[in-house]
Amino acid sequence: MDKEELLYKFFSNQLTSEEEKTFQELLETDKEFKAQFEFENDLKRVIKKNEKENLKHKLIGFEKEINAKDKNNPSKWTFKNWSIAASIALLVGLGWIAYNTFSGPDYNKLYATNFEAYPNTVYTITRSDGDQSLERDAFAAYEASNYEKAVTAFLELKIEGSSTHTDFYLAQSYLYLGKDQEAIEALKSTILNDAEFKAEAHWYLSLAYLKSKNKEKAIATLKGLIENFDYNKERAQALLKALD
Amino acid sequence: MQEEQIQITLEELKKGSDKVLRKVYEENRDKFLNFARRYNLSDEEYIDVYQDAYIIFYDNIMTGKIESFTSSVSTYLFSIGKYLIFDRMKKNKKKTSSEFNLSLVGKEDEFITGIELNEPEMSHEQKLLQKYFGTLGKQCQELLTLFYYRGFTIQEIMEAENYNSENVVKSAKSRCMKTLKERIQAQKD
Repeated sequence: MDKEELLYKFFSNQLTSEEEKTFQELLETDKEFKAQFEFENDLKRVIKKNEKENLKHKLIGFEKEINAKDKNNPSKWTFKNWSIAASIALLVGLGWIAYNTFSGPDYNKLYATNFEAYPNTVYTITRSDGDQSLERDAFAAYEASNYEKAVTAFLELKIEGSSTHTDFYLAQSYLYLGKDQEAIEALKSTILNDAEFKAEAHWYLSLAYLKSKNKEKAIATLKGLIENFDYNKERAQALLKALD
Repeated sequence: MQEEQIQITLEELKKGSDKVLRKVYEENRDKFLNFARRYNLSDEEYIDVYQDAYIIFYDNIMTGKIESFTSSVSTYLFSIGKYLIFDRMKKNKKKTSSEFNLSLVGKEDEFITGIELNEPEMSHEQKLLQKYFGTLGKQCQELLTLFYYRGFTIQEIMEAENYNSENVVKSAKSRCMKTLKERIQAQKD
């Protein structure tokens, strides 16, 4: 086989082990071959770097468009829009609130604006692993938005006691299913037992209280979050303002 | 169903479709930001980290390190993102709000080990190459990128770029390389 073919096969990952041997030998003995190999290898690196830089530019472009879209589209309630809207609503609504004190804030809307389920950051599900554990089932159901199934699996996991973040994801699943009381219990347990998700659990606990229209506890939990953690601090402050 | 969707997206990403690139970027952006806020960085830094994680993810697909998976794309992005955030915090010397725990990333993501967080400085040779690669015609740049970065075989390049035969591709590739070498040599002389 000629040298060019050998290099071609190397860069297409097609060398047989026999050819691999010849390849290594040539690298050590043939200066010209080595120089050519280094040239192509450098080229590969340069192209990779170029491609990465191109992609970065593209992503920065996407980001600009996303921001522009958010500004032009008030129906998509981002945090920024929300805080602006909240201050406007506060001003406009003052008079209206005066004779409408019984209804209070719109808890469901506040909840819907702020709730976003926490992604699975714990368990990577790959096809290749033959792991058929309960934990895998639970997170697979969670990722597939099959929350009924996820709850069942997380509850079993809890009994087994082998996984550390069960309560937190159990709570997420309950929130999705609208089972606020169950979610509240699971989040309380997370705060007590799972240092890793303590801050996050505070945030979701305040949302769960909000959903069940328990304003006082929602406010207390938000204050606890803001005082002790950095997670979602700005959103928590905005929500607190909206509740006051 | 969902597994199939992920596979299709991977295939399409590999083909280099901008539409899919953007779709996947947007679909995972908010999830990633929601997850990243547990660390004490600014919003701009989160976006920056998300983009870098996305680039590494994409690079892993292109170079064949990720061939198939059924875990959601976001899970992969989080795994990479955690390392990037950790690296950045080390540089910023900022404290984490929640204890940073690598065990969370854990055993599962072996492809992470191949990540270059800080690419080594380019050598003089490589800088020259980069400069003159940019002066090549578009067709040459594309051909070489398909071969050296995207891992296309000569036959696949022939099909994707409508060349008449494999030999045409081969000689085009040789010509591109020759031009590149000559231009670099001319600079040295």
